[in-house]
Amino acid sequence: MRNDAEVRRVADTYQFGLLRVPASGRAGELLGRGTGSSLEFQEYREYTPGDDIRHLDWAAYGRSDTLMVRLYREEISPRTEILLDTSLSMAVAAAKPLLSRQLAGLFALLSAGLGGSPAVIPLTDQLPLERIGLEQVDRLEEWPFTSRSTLAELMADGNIPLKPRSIRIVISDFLFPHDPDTLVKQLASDASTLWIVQVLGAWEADPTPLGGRRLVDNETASEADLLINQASIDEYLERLHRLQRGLVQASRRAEASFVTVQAEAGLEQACRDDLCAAGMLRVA
Amino acid sequence: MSFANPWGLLALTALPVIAAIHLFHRRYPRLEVAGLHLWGVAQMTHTPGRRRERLPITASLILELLAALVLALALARPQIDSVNQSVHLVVVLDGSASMSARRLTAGGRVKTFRELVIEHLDRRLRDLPQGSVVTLIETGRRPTLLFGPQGRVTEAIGSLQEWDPQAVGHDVQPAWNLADQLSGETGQLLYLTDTLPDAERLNLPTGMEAVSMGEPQPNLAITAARWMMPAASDGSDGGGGTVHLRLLNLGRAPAIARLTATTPDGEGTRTVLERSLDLDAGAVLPFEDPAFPGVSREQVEAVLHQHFPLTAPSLRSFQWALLVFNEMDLFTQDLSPVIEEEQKRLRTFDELDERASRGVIEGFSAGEAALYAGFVKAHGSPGRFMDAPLPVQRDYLALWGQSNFTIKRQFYGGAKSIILAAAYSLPALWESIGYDGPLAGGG
Repeated sequence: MRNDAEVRRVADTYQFGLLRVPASGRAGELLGRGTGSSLEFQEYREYTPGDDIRHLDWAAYGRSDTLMVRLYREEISPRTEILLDTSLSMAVAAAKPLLSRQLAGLFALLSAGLGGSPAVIPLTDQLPLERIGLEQVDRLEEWPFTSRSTLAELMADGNIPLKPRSIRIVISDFLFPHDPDTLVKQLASDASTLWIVQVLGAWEADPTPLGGRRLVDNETASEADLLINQASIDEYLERLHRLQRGLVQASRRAEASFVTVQAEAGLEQACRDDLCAAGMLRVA
Repeated sequence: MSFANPWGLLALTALPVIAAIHLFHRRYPRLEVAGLHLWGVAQMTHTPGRRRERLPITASLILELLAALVLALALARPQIDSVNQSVHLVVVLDGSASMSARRLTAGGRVKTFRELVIEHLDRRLRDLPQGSVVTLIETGRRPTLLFGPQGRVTEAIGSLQEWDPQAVGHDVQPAWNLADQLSGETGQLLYLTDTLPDAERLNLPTGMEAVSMGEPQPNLAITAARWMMPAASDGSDGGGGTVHLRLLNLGRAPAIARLTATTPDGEGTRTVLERSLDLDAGAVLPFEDPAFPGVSREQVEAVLHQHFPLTAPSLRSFQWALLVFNEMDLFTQDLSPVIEEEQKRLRTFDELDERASRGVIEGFSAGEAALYAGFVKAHGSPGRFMDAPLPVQRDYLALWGQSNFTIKRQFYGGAKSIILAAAYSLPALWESIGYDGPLAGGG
């Protein structure tokens, strides 16, 4: 993905949005939740044995005869974990896997640009799940979207190797049966930040009447005959919006961010219109 | 319930075929989706290996099955059976020779009435409920049982292969009576003929259906034709005269009558009358026109004297009548000879005694008086018959034609026949009356 011109152009244009509370990681450009050695002043307090004497404020000691130390915000490099849904449902429309790969690559590049250590975890049927670092992120270009295991199943079974206090970015269509509250809570567990990006095809987001069709779920192989008219579309959209509302509410409760992007819109438009609006990216 | 055409039930085999088509044939194009559960439809999960799908009950399937069912029932022609649904159909077939006449049918084919009757009977028999029986009777001097009684329907038509209606004497009443007896209280009666019977004159059995294979045809007739010579003051023929025709349209539709009369003219003929007349159905139209030129009263009288000489003994009564006419005083006539002749005729009737005969004569006389009263009112007192003008003579003779007394009507008819015979014997009139002349040379 590092060779993808569009990804590189977007990576040069945007950077990560401000992370809420990066919890841990090696020193870098992001501020940690604890006290560190960054230049951003946080507060004063009395010196206690063990404090870094470099932070003693001698001027304050002269005025008050009390050893005071300056406390600065911790500065860390984030550990970014990008969960990429590679199930069959993501391959329904050709644009979905393309945008999903590009987003995963973009997030990895942006994370690496901050000195972090990104890891893309494709969600597959083969366990244990593989962690792909930045140096191997180009493998995503040929990564097959053929998995039948859903994100909810993998999370429920504890098959996703998540590390605590990491920034988690989940890229999926979330078009599988699940309970948003449970799933988001599991994803947010021990994470410093959770971003959820829902990738939908244009017809999935705004279906048009097609007449009689035999619908085939490409993950479960379930089939159903249905007359796709305005009435059935209205019912579908009502269920889809209910699902999205559930994810938004669950994300809000878990202090996570949720955004839906349309695959056919392309990477640049998704970043400009959706990810920036959600605070996940900002112009560099 | 029974079926007139049980083979039509074979169409019911279309039902499982339709169901199989719905079961195995994917009627809708496939559409792969990511979240089928969001579409809110009942899902069918296919597992590897042999699988059995539940037949999807769709509106299309129901409508197609219903259509196939209705079609099968229409072909099978179901019939609601009552307790005893079969019937006994007694058919009376017209055996008269007129059944061999031919008629142009709607299809352009010429068929005899016999053939049309058999075709109609075949259709009727096909519509009979199962188990029905049929009896065929032919009319004639005496009714003839052609088939049955109560034979199988399927064999009835075959029994008519040799049926050849050629009866000259024809009486339908005995055949109807026999059919009425055979049908009993529950049987059906059917009379097939080429001409509908006069139901008022004949005693058509109650419930009998009479069907005629004939169709109304144009029917225009000349019901009366009279040629009258004008009388000149010197008693000779005034020349010309008038022709009186009465045209009658006996058909059911308006008709156009084209009248054409020709007369010999040198070696050829000359058209002396050509007229086109519109006649409504049932209309009677009197027609008068100047008589045919070239045929005079003298010519008619000459033929009359040649072929009907008044001196012949056979015409003695006619001679006497003419004498009476010549000397007759129109208003002082003595009816006693006429009454005497009428009384002689009445005595031949056994049921009339003397008293009844007198009553009849009195009635006749009263009618005669009424006729003469009208005549006097119209013409006054013209005196002797031979001195009266021709119209008065014509009206006076017409009174004889209308008289109740037989001898008067006989004289009127006889005189008319003799005069017409004399006139029609003239070759000049043959063409105008449609007579081609004698078969042989006549020489």
